[in-house]
Amino acid sequence: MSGMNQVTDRLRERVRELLADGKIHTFIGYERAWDPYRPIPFFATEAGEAERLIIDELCVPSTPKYMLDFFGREGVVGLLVKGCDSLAVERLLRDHRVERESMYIIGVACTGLLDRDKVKARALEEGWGAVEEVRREGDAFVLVTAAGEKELGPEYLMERCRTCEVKVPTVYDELLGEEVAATAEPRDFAEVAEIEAMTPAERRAYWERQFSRCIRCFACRNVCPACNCRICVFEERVPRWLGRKTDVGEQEMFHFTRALHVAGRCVDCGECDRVCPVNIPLRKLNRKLMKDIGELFGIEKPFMPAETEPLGQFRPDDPDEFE
Amino acid sequence: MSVKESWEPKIIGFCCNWCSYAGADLAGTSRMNYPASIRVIRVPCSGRVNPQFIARAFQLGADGVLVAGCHPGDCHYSTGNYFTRRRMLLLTRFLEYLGVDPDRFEVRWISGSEGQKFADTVREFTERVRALGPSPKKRDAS
Amino acid sequence: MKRIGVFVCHCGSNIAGTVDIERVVEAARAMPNVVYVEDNKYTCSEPGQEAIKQAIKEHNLNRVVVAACSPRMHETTFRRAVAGAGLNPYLLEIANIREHCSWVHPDKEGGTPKAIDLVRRAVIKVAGNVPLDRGRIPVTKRALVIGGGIAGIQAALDIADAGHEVVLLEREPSIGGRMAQLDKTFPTLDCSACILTPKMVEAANHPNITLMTYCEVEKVDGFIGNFSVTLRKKARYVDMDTCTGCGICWGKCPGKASSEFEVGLAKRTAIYVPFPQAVPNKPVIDRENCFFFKTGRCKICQRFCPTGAIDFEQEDELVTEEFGAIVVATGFDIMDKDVYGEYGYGQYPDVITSLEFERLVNASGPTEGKVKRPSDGKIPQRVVFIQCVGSRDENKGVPYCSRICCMYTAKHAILVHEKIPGAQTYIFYIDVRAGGKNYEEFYKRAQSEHEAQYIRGRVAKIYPKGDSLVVVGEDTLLGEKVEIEADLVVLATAVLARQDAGEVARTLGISYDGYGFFTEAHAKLAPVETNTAGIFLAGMCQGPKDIPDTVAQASGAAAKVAALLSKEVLETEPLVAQCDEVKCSGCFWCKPICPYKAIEEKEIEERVGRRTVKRKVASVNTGVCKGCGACTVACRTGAMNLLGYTNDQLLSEVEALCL
Repeated sequence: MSGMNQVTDRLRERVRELLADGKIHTFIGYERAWDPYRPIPFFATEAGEAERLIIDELCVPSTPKYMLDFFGREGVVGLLVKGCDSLAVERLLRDHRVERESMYIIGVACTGLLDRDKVKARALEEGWGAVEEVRREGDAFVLVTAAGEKELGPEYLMERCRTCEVKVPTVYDELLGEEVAATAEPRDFAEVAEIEAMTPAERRAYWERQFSRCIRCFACRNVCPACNCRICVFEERVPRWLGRKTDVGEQEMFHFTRALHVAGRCVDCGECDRVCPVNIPLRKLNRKLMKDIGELFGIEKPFMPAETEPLGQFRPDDPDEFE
Repeated sequence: MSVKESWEPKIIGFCCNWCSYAGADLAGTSRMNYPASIRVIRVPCSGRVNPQFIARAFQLGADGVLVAGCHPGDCHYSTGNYFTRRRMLLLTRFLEYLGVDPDRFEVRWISGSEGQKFADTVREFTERVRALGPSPKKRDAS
Repeated sequence: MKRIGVFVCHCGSNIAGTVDIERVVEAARAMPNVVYVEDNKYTCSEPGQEAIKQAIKEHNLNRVVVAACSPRMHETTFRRAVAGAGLNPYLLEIANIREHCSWVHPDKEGGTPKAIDLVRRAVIKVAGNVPLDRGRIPVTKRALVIGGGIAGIQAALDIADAGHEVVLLEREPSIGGRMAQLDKTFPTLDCSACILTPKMVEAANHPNITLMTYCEVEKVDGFIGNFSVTLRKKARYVDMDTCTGCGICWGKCPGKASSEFEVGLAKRTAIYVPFPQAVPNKPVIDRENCFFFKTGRCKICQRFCPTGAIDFEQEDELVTEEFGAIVVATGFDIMDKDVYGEYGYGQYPDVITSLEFERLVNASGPTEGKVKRPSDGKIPQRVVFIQCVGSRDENKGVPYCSRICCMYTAKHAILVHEKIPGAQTYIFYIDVRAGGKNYEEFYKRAQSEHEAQYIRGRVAKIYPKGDSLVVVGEDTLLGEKVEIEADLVVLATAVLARQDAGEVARTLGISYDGYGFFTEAHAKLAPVETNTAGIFLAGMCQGPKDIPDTVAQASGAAAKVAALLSKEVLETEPLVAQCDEVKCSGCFWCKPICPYKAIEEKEIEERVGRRTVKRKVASVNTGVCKGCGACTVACRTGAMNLLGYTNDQLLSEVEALCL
């Protein structure tokens, strides 16, 4: 397996060309910034800035949602997408929140991203200093750090990447690098089953504990590609869907509502979980709904955006457990 | 224990105008008896029932919530309750997952001629809720 | 400033007997925005309604709550009363403290707090009511009937007799449909043409009916009362005004083609009328089989035409016309005989379908009414009929019953007996369905007076033996295998929806089921309406049925159309969905939910910062929206709201009841 950094030069070359030719006015990619273990989204607007672009297994944040900022603007925006990002793009397209013609998508195949928290923790503990390159060698990741080359095993893969079937982006205008075989662990929703096995009282206690930490920063909503409404229901004062009080009841209402609004449209990118500053296991909410939707309505891949989403259709012979 | 000793279950019921509300009316015209636990909110179709209304009811301390609509296939608006069915299938599981006791949420198909079924539903549901005690929200608030 | 008046009804002792009215009145006084409370013995009575009107005027009320019986009972009554006092009728809410309270809770201690809760709910809800007006849309007083079979003809006649203009559209060169192909009709054995042709002529001559034959629907835009339909007038290559229908042209035409009307049993010329009693009795030229169009040589018809009516330069013409209502009467097909290998995949010439049999037995058919074997023209002595070929067959056919075959097979057996002395008929059946008026008697006569022999069982195989066919079946009542050497085998193949039914449905914007039959709005209570307001159904296109039911349904559809067209304007119910364009993201997840296709895409322009942005938002066609509110739940933002049951109102109702 080769790492994504293999295409860095080609990426910079292409972006340079696209910006110089005026085909795009902005390119959204990644750059290594003040925390080299956490590359951040970077908006290149001039051909010269293409040099700053990088792409490797530490480039985790999902960027397609930035397209909402360009809604209604003239011109084309270039976008670098990995598999999970392409599902986000599809989500935005199907929700009519972005137009295909306003994007120029450069896709790159990805065999899995690094868990940045885990890597950073190890780096700090062992004093690795900065990292300047990330390679893939077989199953392992090789980080070129100030303290030399460090190898990390597959256990440093992000949890969500283990079950990812979208190794190659599903939508792109050009693909950099080679296609990769789609191998993935089966989605067994084990973490959901764990909670399903609890008693009602245990579940209530569990979720109260999780939700009590919520500070309503809305990071989960902000990063989610399915949460793309112009005016979010939680900003509305009329009607008062959500109170402003910071009590567990309101936090619960927020997460309950967001999970249901996203149900059937979630692309399982796991960004919500990753960005939560207080580590609420948000994926356990979305994946519960995803699992049920898949089982109840016979949808093999409930995370794949489709023509009509599951709650916008029905079959007369849908399961019915109500008398 | 500072919740009222004289606690009586309070159930919020969403009934569609054409079937379940009419069924409830029929229970009335037939003078059937059932506990005074239920408070009905009329909607044109069970498809109008947003899960957020249900969550709000639980949040404000409702001991039980009932959603009653036409039998699938008989919706006055032809397809409304097919969407209700999908949504409610998901919702029952999700509420349970979040720790709401499944016996506190009920979905039933009650036609305009099923007055008896409405009365029976309220009676059975009330007893189930009574056995569970007041909503946890009420317990916490006190 | 909301000024709510609450009127609590005793309803005699119906409410007062089990609800403490005084306590309710007292509690109501303390509810938010309530400025006036009154109780009445019978609020729905004349004095009761007067009291409400008085109070509105005296106390300047701008919202009214009536705590009484079910709104399903008297909401309209009280709306009218309130309107009579000059208040918008939609500023009223009913608290159902009778059917939902006093009648089901016999003790005052249980019922009274509940009654108070219910009144509070209504008080809080009515505060969110806004004045609403019934919308008005104009109605084009013209109807389009698509399909010129008996269903379409009947519907057109009825609508025309009601005084409205009708366009009767038919895609074949002549009206008449399937009934024109039939010989005699059950259960009376009336000659089909004899009862049909007078109606065909009446339709052609009716001052309110415009006949458009050899035309198809290309596109349908608009909505109820305001349909804009583009029609394709196919080129006939014959000038309808100058042609006299003399018939010289088709007498001379050298071109030959398989006659669709004769179900392939005979040939017709390239310039042709489909059958002698065609209305209009003027020909069309079939381009594909015309020598001139194929080779550039001929034009015999033009040479001999005494009025110069042939015009090879004609082209299809597209015209757009306005209509207020549309009736769909596009008819049916029957299953081909080549489906079943057991019956020869249609390769045996003497295994025919029931429709082919109708043509053989018809006096103006290819054999002049003599039942002759297609293979050698001999008169058959033993005729076997097989029922349920394709019907009630989940494996190779359709699961439903085609409804007409048991009756027409009995009819066929009777005709064989009458026309061929000494002939014997055998009918393999599963069940005999003869449910209409005089149907059972007819079927019994086929057996008792016409010696039809009914064998309960299926036919496993037909194979040729010399000149005959051996039909191998089972007699399940005797529990024996049966083999019959037959001269002619008639298959009662299944009724099917037209092959292009799906396309037609999509053009019109109506629904169709898995078999291609168009879907009615409600199977029992609205069998002639569709979910698309203003479009109605008649005849087989909605489902298999016989002629009496077809005609009845056609008249039913016509009545609906006449009612619609008799209005100057259509008043639309104001409790409909509404989209807040500012909030709407343009995701359109509301669209697939609507059963009436009432949600449209609308382009708007907005000023954002210093740019003008064009974007699409959802827009509700209030003429078509029925106010179910299902779309509102699909809308995450709550941009889609339902007037009279807004999100805010429902949330506040929940709050009011949970206190």
